[in-house]
Amino acid sequence: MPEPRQEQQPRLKAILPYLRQLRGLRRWYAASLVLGLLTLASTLALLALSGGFISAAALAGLTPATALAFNFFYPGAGIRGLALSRTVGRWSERVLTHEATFRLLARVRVWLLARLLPLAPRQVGAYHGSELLHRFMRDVEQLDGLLPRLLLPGIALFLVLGGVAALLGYWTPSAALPPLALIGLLLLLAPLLWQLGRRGAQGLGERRAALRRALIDVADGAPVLAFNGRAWGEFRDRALACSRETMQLQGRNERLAALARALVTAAAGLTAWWALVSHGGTLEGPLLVAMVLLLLGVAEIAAPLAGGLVELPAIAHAAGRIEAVASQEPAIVFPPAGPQPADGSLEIEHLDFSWDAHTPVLRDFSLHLAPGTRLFLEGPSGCGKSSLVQLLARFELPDRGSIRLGGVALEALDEPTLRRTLAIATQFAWARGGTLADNLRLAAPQASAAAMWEVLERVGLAATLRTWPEGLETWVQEGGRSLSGGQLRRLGVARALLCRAPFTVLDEPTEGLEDEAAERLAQQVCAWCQGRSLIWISHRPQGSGCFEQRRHLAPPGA
Amino acid sequence: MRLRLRRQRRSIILSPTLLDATLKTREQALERPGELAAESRALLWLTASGRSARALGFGAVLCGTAQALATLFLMYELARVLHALVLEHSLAGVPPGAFWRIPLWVVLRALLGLVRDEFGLRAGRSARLSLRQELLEAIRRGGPLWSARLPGGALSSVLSDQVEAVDGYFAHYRPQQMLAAIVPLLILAAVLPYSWMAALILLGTAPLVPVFMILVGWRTRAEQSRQMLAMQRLGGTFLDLLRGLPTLRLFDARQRSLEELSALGESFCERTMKVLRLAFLNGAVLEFFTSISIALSAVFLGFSLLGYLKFGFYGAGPKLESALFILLLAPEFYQPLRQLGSHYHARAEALAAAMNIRQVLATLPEGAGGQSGASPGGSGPAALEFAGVHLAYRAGEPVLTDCSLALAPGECVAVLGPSGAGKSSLLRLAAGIALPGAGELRVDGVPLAELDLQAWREQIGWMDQHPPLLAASLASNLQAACARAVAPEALWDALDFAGLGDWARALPEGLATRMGEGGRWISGGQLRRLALARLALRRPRLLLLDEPTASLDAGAEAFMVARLEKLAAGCTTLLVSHRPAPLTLAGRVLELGPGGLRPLPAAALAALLQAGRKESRDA
Repeated sequence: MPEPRQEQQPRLKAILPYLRQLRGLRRWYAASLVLGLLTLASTLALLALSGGFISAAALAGLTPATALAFNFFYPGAGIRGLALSRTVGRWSERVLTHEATFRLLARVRVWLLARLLPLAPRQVGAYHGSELLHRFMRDVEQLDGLLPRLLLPGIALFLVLGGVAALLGYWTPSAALPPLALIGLLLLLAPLLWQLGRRGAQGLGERRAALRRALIDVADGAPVLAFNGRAWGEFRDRALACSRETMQLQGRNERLAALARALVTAAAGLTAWWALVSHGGTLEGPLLVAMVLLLLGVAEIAAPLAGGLVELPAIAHAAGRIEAVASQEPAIVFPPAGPQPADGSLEIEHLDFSWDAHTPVLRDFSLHLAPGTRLFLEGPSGCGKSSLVQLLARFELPDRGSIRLGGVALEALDEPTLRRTLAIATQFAWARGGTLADNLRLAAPQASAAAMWEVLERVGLAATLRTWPEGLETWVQEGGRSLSGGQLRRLGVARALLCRAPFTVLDEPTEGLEDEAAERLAQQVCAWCQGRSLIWISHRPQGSGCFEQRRHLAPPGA
Repeated sequence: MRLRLRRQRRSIILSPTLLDATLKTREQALERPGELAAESRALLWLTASGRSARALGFGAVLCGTAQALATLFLMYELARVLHALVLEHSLAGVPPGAFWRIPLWVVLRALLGLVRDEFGLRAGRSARLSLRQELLEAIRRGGPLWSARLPGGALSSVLSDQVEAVDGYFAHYRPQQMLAAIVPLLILAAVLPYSWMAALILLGTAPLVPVFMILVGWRTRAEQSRQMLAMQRLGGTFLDLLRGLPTLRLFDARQRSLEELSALGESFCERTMKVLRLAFLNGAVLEFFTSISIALSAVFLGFSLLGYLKFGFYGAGPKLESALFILLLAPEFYQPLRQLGSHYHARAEALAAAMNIRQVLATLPEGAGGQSGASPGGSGPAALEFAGVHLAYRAGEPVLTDCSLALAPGECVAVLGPSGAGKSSLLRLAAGIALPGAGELRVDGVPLAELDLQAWREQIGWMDQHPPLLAASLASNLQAACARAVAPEALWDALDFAGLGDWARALPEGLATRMGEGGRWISGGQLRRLALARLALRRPRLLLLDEPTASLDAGAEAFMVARLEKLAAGCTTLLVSHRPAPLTLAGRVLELGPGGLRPLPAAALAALLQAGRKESRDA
């Protein structure tokens, strides 16, 4: 993700796009809300009814006559029923909420991926380390707790409190006051906690990132730090200091949550006492007991929720960061439909390109390739070879100049046509979690096993693969971690070859290969691309013999 | 047509049978009996490593107990007041003082909760900090070889995320675990003097709770891990696709990956819910017993008050006061257990983290990081000798066998060889990062095993094959190589020496520019120059160069070789390379093959050097 320009204050509005994803799941959430309400109401009613029942029984038991006349059937049945409905309600509410949350989770991820896919890699920060992506993932995970932990129990609590107020008000209007006071307190507390937690959320995000960086340094800096005890000590102390600072800020939030919990617990207890003071002696005994038990029961439910409110700013903060990335408009838009390129020719005219204003990368670069030509493009690092690939892929726009593919301007081509015409293996080879065949089919969904073996043979992976028991079905770990650097790169090349596109571009395909292997790969690829255009980009001279054209790219200013 | 399109797309969705298969094997692993033992070992280890949090944890338990006592008193006063109000219907009958003690207990109860949370918070913090310290110490002991052999990111993930994950266990779960044993007993002790029958109701339902919890928990344990696994898988796939965004675009696989992710979400939801429905029975059991004990108590008390039941109390029948007291305490009896249940996920998280941490620590080499030996004396170029050295990282897979090599002070020796021949291992042995299985190394005639390895490393200049870029300022990145704090001028000199001076001067923030993660990235060539600048800041007695010109183009390679020549002038140098250019530095070139080290034949050397010169001429 692009490093946020300035850590922004969390805004509640940032959660809205996320809530919109609920649209198709409303029924699920409505049902789980109803069940949640049922459970809460049963819990409170069970306590109140039990208290009322024994108080009434005590009053009736004073004389044998009233004791005999006492109808214990309804309260007894009520108590049993409530005990049951509370159990069943709790179980089904949990099942329903979890299922709905799972569905929402999957939906949010699909929605985010759909938003991110059309963006240029630069907009998603794909050129940066995986750390930013990790942070993005943590933000997404933070959002997951919003609905099941805060929103649904919050709504249920307010509805139940309102119901309690209405019920008590029905007996004696003034008895509605204590629960109403509790609602008022929660309503006051929410914005206060939001304000207090907001500042913490902002600082905590920054401190966490700093801590992570410091820890990565100690973990990955070992090759340097091991040779210098002083520097090691410094970096370790920095990591521990960052750790303490982060925990200090975390502690601030946790204390706030604890304070909110204590406040609500005390408030609920005091309202119960208030009810005693104001209605003792006026309200009927059993009703009074029921009322006190109701209010005490509310504390148990409201306290954890008040503590959870402290998390809201952090959630909003995460949502804001996600939105900053996901709400970007694609910097490069493809036309919905366009002409087809006539052949595999390429004309690049007077191309200028720079990543930012200070570092020009390509200056007045021109290149003409007849259809079916194989070009060896070499140059030192930093000369703009990889930038050229980004431009050809239309991941970046040139500052000046034009690129024409098969006689058609690059910007006139629609995306499927461009991708069909141009097969690219970038410098950063990536493999997905899946089988080797899955990874190859990414490029050509209908490729047969024979075709796959053929390209693997070309890139020199087939021999290794034959020694693996599962062959094409070998599982590749996420990011290609289970493959060596050389294997991963060859897999990337194989993928590009499998496309059999009129035009193939390979960026540093021989990195990590021995000279001989590099030479062999160049020969094989050239033979495979016979009759089709090929651009081979490398800083190494190996294999340049098999190319019809050779071009040296000098860094600007050289 | 449309239908066919759909089917074609399906065909590229991640082969589901395989996905199922991998999930299943990992799930089965979770249910294997050995796994339980591993879990309890991990739990023991976790508890032991959180020693520093123990006192704080006891503080939390103490406060929790005091909170329960406050609750008892509150309920007692409440019952007395309600008794008077219900039966006498006026405030006048309320026992004096009882009325005003209620708010007191209410506030005290809340305050004690606050203090208890503070203790928990500090316990979690202290446990995390000491765990992190312990891990950092392990990293120092394990040395760079150990950290380099771990899968990428494993160490930093352990240091940050896994350490954070144990917080809830120490802050909440462990104190609550003790409270779940103490508080119910307290309540039982308070109820027993009033009615043995009511105590029996509480006691009668209570032992069933653990039994049911174990029965249901048996299944839940595996199922909870399965849920975590499913979540991890979904998250992992999402992250995987995010990382591959450019590639997905290049092959126009956007629609396909969206469909795949959505199908994956669907299937995970179905699989996970199937087992969660059962797992939630655990919570339902507790809920059921809480309800049942309230209901039973209420019915029993009500009927006793009506005079239908004439047992369970001592002497005379019950008073409303005691009945209310018992009823008010019934839900409190189960409250600690329910809270323990709500913290259960903290335990699961900490357990998973502990297993991960232990897995990483288990690979820590034994006896690594000797810091006891004598400090290597001497100054000026070191003499280094390999005497019949054997090395194997894993038993049965020797990397070096019977290697002998002597470097005179000031000599420069280059070692050639195919990749995997053990060239880098020679350098690691020399730096004491890897320890020989047999044979020994001598520095100035003293066996390396008798030296303080850390002090020896301080005298070495090492250029790694992949120099790390630290996420700190440019100055810190350089100073990481200096034994003393260095003046900025010296840093600039080093940058100029490495050919980075102009680039660094153009940086708006100069030496203070933040590098790496969250800052500025530099190219592979610049990274090598940075490593060169680091070397220039040291005054080593021994220079160890691991492929110093790999992935450099010819011009940069020539520059690097010229600079290294200057650095090598004042010290002994051992370099390994598969490229010919750096060989010009060496007075002696050896070849490392399966048979050990042997001098490279003169003809082969001449041909190599010829090739090297030709390459640089071409450039």
